[in-house]
Amino acid sequence: MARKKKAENKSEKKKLPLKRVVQNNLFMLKLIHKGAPFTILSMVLISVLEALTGFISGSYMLRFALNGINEGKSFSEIAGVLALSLIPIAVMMVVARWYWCRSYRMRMTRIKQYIFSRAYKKASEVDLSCYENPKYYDDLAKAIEECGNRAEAVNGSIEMLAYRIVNFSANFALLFAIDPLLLLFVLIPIAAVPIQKKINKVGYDKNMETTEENRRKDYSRRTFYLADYAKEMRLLDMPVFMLERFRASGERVVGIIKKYGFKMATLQYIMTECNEVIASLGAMAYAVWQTVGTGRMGFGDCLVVVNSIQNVAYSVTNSADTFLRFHDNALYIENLRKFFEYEEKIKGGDKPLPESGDIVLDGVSFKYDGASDYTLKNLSMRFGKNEKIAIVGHNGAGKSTLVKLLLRLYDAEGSITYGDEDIKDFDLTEYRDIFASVMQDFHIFSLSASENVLLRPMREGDEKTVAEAIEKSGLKEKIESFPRGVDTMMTKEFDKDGEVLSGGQAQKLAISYVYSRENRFVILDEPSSALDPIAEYEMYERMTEACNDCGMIFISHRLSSAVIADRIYLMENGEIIETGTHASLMEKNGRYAEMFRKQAQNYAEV
Amino acid sequence: MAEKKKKLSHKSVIKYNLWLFRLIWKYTPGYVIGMVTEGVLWGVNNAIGSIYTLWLFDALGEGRALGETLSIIAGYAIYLSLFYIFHNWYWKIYNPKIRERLHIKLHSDMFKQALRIDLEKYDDPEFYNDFIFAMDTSFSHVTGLVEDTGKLINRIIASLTLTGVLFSIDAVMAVVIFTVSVIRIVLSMLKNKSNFKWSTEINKRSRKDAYIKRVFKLPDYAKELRTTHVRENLLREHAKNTDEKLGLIKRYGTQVGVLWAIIAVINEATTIGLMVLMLYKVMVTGTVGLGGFAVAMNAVWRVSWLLSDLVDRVMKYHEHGLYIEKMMNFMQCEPKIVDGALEAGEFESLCIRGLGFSYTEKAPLALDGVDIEIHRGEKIAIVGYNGAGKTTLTKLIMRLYDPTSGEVLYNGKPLCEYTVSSLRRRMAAVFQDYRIFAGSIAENVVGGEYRSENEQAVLAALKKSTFDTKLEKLENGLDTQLTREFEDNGTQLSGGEAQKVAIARAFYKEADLIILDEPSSALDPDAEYALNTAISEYAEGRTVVFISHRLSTTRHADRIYMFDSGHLVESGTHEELIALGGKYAYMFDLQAQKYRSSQTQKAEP
Repeated sequence: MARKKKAENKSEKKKLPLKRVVQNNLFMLKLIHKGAPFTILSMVLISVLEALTGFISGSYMLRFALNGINEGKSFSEIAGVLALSLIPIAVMMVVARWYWCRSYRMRMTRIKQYIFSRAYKKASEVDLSCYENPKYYDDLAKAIEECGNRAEAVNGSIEMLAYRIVNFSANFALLFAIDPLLLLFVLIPIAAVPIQKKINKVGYDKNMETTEENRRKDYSRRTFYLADYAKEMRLLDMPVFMLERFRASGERVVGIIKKYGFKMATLQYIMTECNEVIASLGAMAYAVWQTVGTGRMGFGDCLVVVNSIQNVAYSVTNSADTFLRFHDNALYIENLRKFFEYEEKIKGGDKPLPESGDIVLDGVSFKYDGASDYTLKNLSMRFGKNEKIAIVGHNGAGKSTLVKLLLRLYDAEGSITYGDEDIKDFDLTEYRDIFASVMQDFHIFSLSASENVLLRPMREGDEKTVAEAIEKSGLKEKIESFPRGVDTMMTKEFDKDGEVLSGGQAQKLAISYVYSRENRFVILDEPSSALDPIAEYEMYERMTEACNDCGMIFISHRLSSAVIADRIYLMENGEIIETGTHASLMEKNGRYAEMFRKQAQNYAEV
Repeated sequence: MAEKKKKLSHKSVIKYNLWLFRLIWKYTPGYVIGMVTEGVLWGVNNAIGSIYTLWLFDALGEGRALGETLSIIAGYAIYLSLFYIFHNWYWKIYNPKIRERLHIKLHSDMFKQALRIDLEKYDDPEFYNDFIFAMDTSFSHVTGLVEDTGKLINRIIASLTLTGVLFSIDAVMAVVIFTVSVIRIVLSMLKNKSNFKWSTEINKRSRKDAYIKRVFKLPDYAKELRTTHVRENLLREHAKNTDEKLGLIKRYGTQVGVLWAIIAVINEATTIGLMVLMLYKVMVTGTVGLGGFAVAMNAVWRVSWLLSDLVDRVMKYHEHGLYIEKMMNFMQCEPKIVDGALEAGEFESLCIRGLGFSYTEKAPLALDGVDIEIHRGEKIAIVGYNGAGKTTLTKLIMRLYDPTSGEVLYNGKPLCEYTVSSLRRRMAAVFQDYRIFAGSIAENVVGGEYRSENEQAVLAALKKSTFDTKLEKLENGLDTQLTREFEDNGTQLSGGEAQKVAIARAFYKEADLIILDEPSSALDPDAEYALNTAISEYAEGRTVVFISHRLSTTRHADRIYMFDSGHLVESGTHEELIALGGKYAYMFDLQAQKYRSSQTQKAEP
């Protein structure tokens, strides 16, 4: 039941008003123009010339020759004209091939480079909520995914339009010149346009239903083939279940084919019958009658009539499709346009950063867009410039959200100040640069090891910085064991000689970032989850040492690491419920002490 | 993978393609028969079209009566109408249906084979990419083989009959058309070769582009892109990639463009040349009628297209052969881990003697000389640093691998003497990299099909894994669909919650031996505590092996095995190991230190 409903929802395709379709396509044309000027113009010109050449070298010359026989022209006269026509046609062909193979491709590459780099820059500027809120994210993902293809699609649609217009007009003119009555045969395909529409509709419905089942099949297939599932598939009864699901979906696909197949075949048959039999052969019969019966047409006319009728019919039948392509483009461009035109809510000011200072939160509350409850409630906290602050609490207490606020990835109610100035007044990049943060879900990039440490382009003198950083994080030995040392590519994404680090090593690499720069604050969000105890211990030792002259904020649910903190904030359900040093909190004997004892219990002296 | 262009001998090409043909014939003979029929009919169709043109224009040229000429058209109309009935029925109804059937049957067998294959094959990137991954994507080659064969039959019949018709009209014309077609094919092949090299080079770059696109697109990286400057590195890589692509276009684009232009000019010259030639025959020598002229003008395109397509199809067999070779190797791959004769009975003991194991022949030993004994009802902890070989050991116990040396005895007999399925039924495992399947919570706990009579058992398992509080908040309860794979509003569990579901799976299975690999890594302390209690309770009478580097979780174990770089270095109870003052004691101390010193602070006043 649920499945069916979903398929129906999807088949309601969005419709854009004509104005928007034009606007959106123009939007893309502007981008194309900026990427490589005069692309559209040159492309249209070449397409028109190509279409004309095709028409002349095909229908027109053929008709000229055969009608020449009828009219009693001499062989040498006809042959002469034919031979001469070869020169301009050949020149045109050479120019067109050169254009498509070289010039057009280079233009397209430049256009994509332009659009992508704009999209990527924008992607790293839009508010984080665009990524974290599913409501916005779908559109954003589609925009980025499609932006390269759409430039090509718009070009393709315009090229097709140009080609079809020329083809239609030329053949239409030819038919008109031969005998205007021939155009009546074009009416048959026109009358059949609703059938074509019906075919498209049926095909679309069928696809919608099949896609849904194919997704299910594909998932079952993945569980059998992907290494991730291999162990569980061997130990659980899942295989039987997945196979059953796969078969059931397959049988449903067969059912769908049966359901739509007869309809599709019949409609398609009527369509072919109309175009290729009734219209084409009918026109042929008419032409034959005019040639043999009344003598008003020549042999050449007979030979080209069918071809021209078919061309005109094809253009007419597919005219809706031409418009649809622009409409489809517009739909996708809509996403891209929204994305490019998105106005960031989180904007920087221009106040210079103070030399140093504390970060102070006063009455800060925060609610994610669309959420009904506040994630953080009325927080007042202080992060001193040289303090070690621990934030502890259960999963879901709001710790990671708090970090996002500190980094100004979101703006909250209440005030957050740095050195007594509202953080909203600082330049965004400059402000974020005072922090070095290592997140719980950090990533290793497919770049060199050094670049992963620095997380910025290499500059002169960076070798030393990198060497020191990996030394401190305890990764030096491992990285030096690679043949290319710090220049080794991380991951095997696109370098076969790339190295893949284990979870613990990766975490160390992520932590090296902190050591590679001058920080005013270091934020560590559960940085030790993949480290073994020795490595964890060493990490904290070194980190504390390195953070002598800067603030350190670390988040953990392992309370043992909080012991060294100058101040501990215990969070629960978005609120700070206890504050103080370890000693004072233990003294207080509240929630913190309770949690701590629970965890410590197992470590107590035997 | 795709860049490596391997060459197969003709013999192997034939062997592999025949193998697949037989397989397809076995599953769906109708598919093969249909394809051949369609191929023959289309093939003949071309010749009939030419004969129709010949008759019609000859009739015109010879000035026959109107009725006679029109009847040729009518006859052709009837033929076409009949042919299209078959054509549409075949492509819109029969073909999609039979393809789907083949897909189901073939894949079902391939899935079963994927399950039979040893797990080690999944770890071997070469085998994995070459066979398992290739299998996943190769259905297009299966249908490709059948459809290309159908087309090949069509092209052969079409070009033979068409050439026959042409020869019957005028031999010189036929030879000209044929020769030019061959020249065109040769040039096209040259062009394709350049094109292939070009696209291979482009593909290499596209992979990089795809990666960069992913980084900017996925939410995962969004925070890092904002808080660091790594986007500059990525943008620079992207620009570099574009420059390289432009360079490639300059190099290959010119080559391909020139060849393509030559082909186009030859085409035009042939068409016009042939027109002149035929005019000469019609007007000057009078050896050819108007019909011959009309057919020639049509055929010049069709013959060269048919022949070049024929060559393409033949070449395709080589390409198919490469994939089929992989498919055949995959289907015929015999697992090393095969069933023994015995059914594994209730778990009594597990005895590991002198166990050694390495993942590949060249790799260093992941485990070396390990001796362990586990008895029914015991709680065993395996501890050690990352990479000590703990996880590997569990895989050997479950017989996902066979040992390189030494042996694992289940109830006193080597694992290989039991049937694999009976052995694995006795064991349940929560892996470090456990998976949540796209399905309901209940299905995930059952690890298979859920029936409502199992409701109590599922609920009990979820309670034991402390998932019950979360479950109460879920509107659809056990029916809640997990992951967004199929449902846009499917529930995405957090790391800790997902882990609890995975643990519930092990509880549900009621196995004798439960293996928990770092089961608490994503849980917060409260949950970890509750889970440890639950495991202890549940384990009464059952045997539990848990692996962890958090020593607080493992200290109550009946026996602790401490691993270091593949070696078992210490074993005993927590107390014994602390007294020993070795590696375990050191590791425990490190972790306990802060808790302990701070505890005493509290304890004093």
